[in-house]
Amino acid sequence: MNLFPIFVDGSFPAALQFIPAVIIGFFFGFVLERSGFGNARILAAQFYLHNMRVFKVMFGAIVTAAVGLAITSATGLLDMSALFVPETFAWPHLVGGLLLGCGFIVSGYCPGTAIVAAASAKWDAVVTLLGVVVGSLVFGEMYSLIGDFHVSSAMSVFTVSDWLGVGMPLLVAALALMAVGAFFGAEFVEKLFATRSKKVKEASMNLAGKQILAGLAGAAVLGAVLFLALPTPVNSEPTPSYGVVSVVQVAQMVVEEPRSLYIVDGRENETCQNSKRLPYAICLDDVAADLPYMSPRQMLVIYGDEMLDESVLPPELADYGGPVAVVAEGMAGWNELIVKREPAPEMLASLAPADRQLVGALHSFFTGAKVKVQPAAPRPKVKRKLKKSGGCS
Amino acid sequence: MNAKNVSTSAPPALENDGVAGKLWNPYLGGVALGLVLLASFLVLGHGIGASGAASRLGATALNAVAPEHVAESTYFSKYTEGGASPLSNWLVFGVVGIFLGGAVASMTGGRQKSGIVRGPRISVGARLALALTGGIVMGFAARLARGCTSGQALSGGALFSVGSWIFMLSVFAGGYALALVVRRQWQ
Repeated sequence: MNLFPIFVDGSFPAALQFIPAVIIGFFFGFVLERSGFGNARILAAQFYLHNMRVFKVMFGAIVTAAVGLAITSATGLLDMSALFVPETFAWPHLVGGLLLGCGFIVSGYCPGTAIVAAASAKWDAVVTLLGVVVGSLVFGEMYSLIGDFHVSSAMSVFTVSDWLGVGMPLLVAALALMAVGAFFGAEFVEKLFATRSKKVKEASMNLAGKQILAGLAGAAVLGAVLFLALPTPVNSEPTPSYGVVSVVQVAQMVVEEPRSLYIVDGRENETCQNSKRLPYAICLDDVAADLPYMSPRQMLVIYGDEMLDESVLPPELADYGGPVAVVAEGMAGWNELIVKREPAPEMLASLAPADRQLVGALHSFFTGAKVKVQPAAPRPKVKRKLKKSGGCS
Repeated sequence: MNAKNVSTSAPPALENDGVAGKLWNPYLGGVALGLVLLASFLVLGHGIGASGAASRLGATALNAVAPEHVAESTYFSKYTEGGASPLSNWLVFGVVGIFLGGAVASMTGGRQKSGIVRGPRISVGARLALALTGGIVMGFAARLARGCTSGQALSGGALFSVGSWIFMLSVFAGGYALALVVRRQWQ
């Protein structure tokens, strides 16, 4: 029974989140201040190496939260898949990080700590926050120039676990172990640089510090033992189940979230190579070898000439770790419903009412015919989890 | 410590760059911060963000002056979709909480003292100019990276998002790369 997260998209009115957001923010700000993050000199000291509080607190927080997530999800309290995970955009993340680091050492704060410092009546932090607001506006105003870069190297939701194919418990154990080592390293570096810059090294490896490090080492050992004790730790992989989507749903997803899809043409290779395919579609033969390595967060959509029967689905699909869906009407349905100006009435009648309304707009989007597509009206997000057969509502 | 330094009340302790009051042990602070972050995941289903609220605040100001401009803006129009206020978002409420928490902690910790934090060798004007410059760069960078140290590095880092880790390592790289250049500001 998944008790957490309490607020899952759509389960409560969004405004109800505001109260817990204030409370959690309160504790976040409180702890940041108590940790010394309300002062630019302590934050800046990280980069001169004589006081590595920033590193210790940040890394400690990440490991603690990760251990907590691993435990709550392993015990079934938390449904990890319901959590919001930031998508990866490799280059924007790299460049944005470098710039933010530069801004950090120049201003002495990062945005969150500037809020805490402003709350402690530090005027340089107020000015920094003003700068952050201005910088955000500059970004928004320049979006026509940098928008392409902003969405480049998109890798969707991509975790270290996806990347290395290692389950959460082992990953967390490794991180905890790394933290213990890194903390001893930080103490050593602090000592070295505090002496050089004639400062007093903070004595943070006191009893509490040692106990916490011992706890982390314990978590690492426990995680490793659990991993070894359970021969198949990640056995929760869903057995391949094939959902069915209509061409209209596929078209809609191509318009709205093209990155959430892998579209695979499942027809004979010769046909596929030499004829028109669905947008972004790749021939099965070209992609078959990569299937085991593709990010399982996306939905793989496969189509044939017409409806593909489950029994004739290519066996290679079993190698793909994520959800797989078959296009109900196949390429023929695409040509009829999306490409044709006036689809056959019986084809239209077979669609769900909500899908039927979209046919005209999708036709003009994909063929460039006169009517412009309206920005998608608010509608429930397409759930990646597909019910076995039967269209989504 | 230099007598002209208005930043702190010049306490004799040299530890922690002369910051007043007693700070938590950093390892304890880390665990506490991690527990808050965990609570955010368990309750809200996502981590904690700081820079998003700044962007929304900017968009609100812009919206007050030039609403048509915001409506046409590729980047900001999403904040006002359906006539919503850009401030009607959990990120903004989280930041209100961060401010309150910081205020209560600094008041009860003896660090609630008006001033400008700077090293002994830099003027107030130069310090504020650098603070503003750094802020602008961070505001831009946080939008580019879809989050800052809170929403991207901490929250995404705990979830092992590859992009968040790229971001975090880059933040440290950027900071160290420029640290010697602005050394006079701090040392």
